[in-house]
Amino acid sequence: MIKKYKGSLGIITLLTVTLAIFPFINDSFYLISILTLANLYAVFVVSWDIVSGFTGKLNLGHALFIGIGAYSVGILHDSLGLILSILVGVVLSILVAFIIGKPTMKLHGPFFSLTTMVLPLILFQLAYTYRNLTGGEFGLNVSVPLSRMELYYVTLAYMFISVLIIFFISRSRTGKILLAIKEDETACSAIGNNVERYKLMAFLISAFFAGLGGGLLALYLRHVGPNVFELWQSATILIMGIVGGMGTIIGPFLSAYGLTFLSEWLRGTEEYQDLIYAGLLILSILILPNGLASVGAYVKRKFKERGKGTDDNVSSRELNESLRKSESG
Amino acid sequence: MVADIIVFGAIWTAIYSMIALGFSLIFGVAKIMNLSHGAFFMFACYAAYYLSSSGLGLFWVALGAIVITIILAIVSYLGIIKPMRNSLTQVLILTFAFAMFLEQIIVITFGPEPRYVPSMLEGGMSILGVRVTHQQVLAFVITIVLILFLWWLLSRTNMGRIIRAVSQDREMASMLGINAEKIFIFVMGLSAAFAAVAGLLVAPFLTVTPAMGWSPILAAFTIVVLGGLGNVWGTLIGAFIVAYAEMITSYAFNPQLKEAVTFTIMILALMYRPNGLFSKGVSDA
Repeated sequence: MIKKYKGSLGIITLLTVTLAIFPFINDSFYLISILTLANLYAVFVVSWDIVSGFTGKLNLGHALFIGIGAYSVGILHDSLGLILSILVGVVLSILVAFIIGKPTMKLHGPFFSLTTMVLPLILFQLAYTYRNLTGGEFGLNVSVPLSRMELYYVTLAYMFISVLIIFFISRSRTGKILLAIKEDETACSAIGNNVERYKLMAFLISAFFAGLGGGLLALYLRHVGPNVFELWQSATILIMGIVGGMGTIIGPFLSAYGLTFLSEWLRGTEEYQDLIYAGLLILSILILPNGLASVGAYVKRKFKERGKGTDDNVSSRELNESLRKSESG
Repeated sequence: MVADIIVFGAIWTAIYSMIALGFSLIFGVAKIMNLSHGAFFMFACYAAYYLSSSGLGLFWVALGAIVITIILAIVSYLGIIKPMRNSLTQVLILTFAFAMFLEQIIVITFGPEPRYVPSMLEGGMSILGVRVTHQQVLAFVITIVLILFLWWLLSRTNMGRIIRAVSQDREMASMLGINAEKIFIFVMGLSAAFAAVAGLLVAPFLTVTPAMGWSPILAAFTIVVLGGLGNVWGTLIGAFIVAYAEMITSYAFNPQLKEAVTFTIMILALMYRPNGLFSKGVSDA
């Protein structure tokens, strides 16, 4: 299986190794800082993609799990210590995903999307209201005993592990079933797959990684405030996923890095930044609905065609092999 | 306190009905969940603010705001929604993105601070011992009139019959000679008009901020789930439930918890009655 996906795996590994070596070449505080954030966003977007890109249920509120993870750390890091508070965040995220997912997965798409969109907004309100717990609009500060560099490597390692796990899930039989659910849920269910279980499972996995990442985000920011639940937090992840190419994992992974840098670059435009982002999202869907990954796939195909000749040259041996594989697999 | 709940509950039932009906119309007829609906509501409030601070007369402010919102809605339908009609997911993302885009434009143009829109009617009166402004009473009366108008349109006119036909079976309607696209545009405009009127009427007594469009969407959606799609009376009942639940929460507990309560109602409705409280098919009455 590794050989088959050497393209995508290669990209992930190459990027990770490059990032690991990077601080020895250039230890600019600024760049390391952005890369740490980008590592986290890579996990957020990839964990979003496994649900929205694969099951076809569009999650418009991924910030929910990020926020739950972040606030768990914010509230509990003093009493329980960092690791336990992160774990609590993860458990809570999965719990919430289960409570929300169970009823909404059964229904048609828009209902799930709207539920996911609205819940973070409600938690946003609640974070403001219960200020004794959450610090209100000022949020909570997080004291972090890790140095910048240590945090960088922690997020890098976390990114590598998470993306690999989600990537392998996506290319496994489970991933294929999820894709089948997106294509035609009724047909997939008619063959005998328990589609609800698969959808829920994807959602729980998504919540796990985003929740953990949210805890790390609180460490990175040294602070957690209500804006972690903001619509823009979810929208940013959505944009990264769509521009990268929903349902490919590798597309959103790369676009997380690309767009994190883009947003830094755009930081100078301050007030127009969000507008540009929203405009980018609209244009992206209208022009490239399958994201940049589809461009990549197109280029790769053209490249292969030129090298190997036309499709008519498929030998009978190759044909038999692929038939045999699909029979036993 | 009880009197407050009763009176304001009634007012908000009417207002939420207006917003929910617009949302339900486009959802029921064109199968589009228009996440920009709240943004249209917000946009109308700002249009009213802008026009009234330009010194125009009341009538022109109202007319202008409604017309601009309708144009915006139709443009968004033709430019953004229609090309992607095949994929519901993409339409969702697009309406979501458009709503955020609109919100940003408003933030850039007017700034994030709350704006004041002058009332159409000054002064107030006392109902059941509760102090209500004339603007709020006006909002109640006008929304009731418009809801009745919509009911009449859908059930007693030819146009209404055509709309119902398209919502029940688009292909069949097309085969019978109905131009479904024109109907969609009409319904889109009608839906936006309702959102705009609701916005105009409540702008004087609500906090007008760029982000005000999102909570109406939550309420509208909950109402539509409760009432069943395309069902005018169901929507009214749904609005009644949501409005009173919010008022009770607001006055008896904590105003900040309003949305959490509405959300809980929505989840419960989705879990136990996803087809509406009455679980009928698409009907008009």
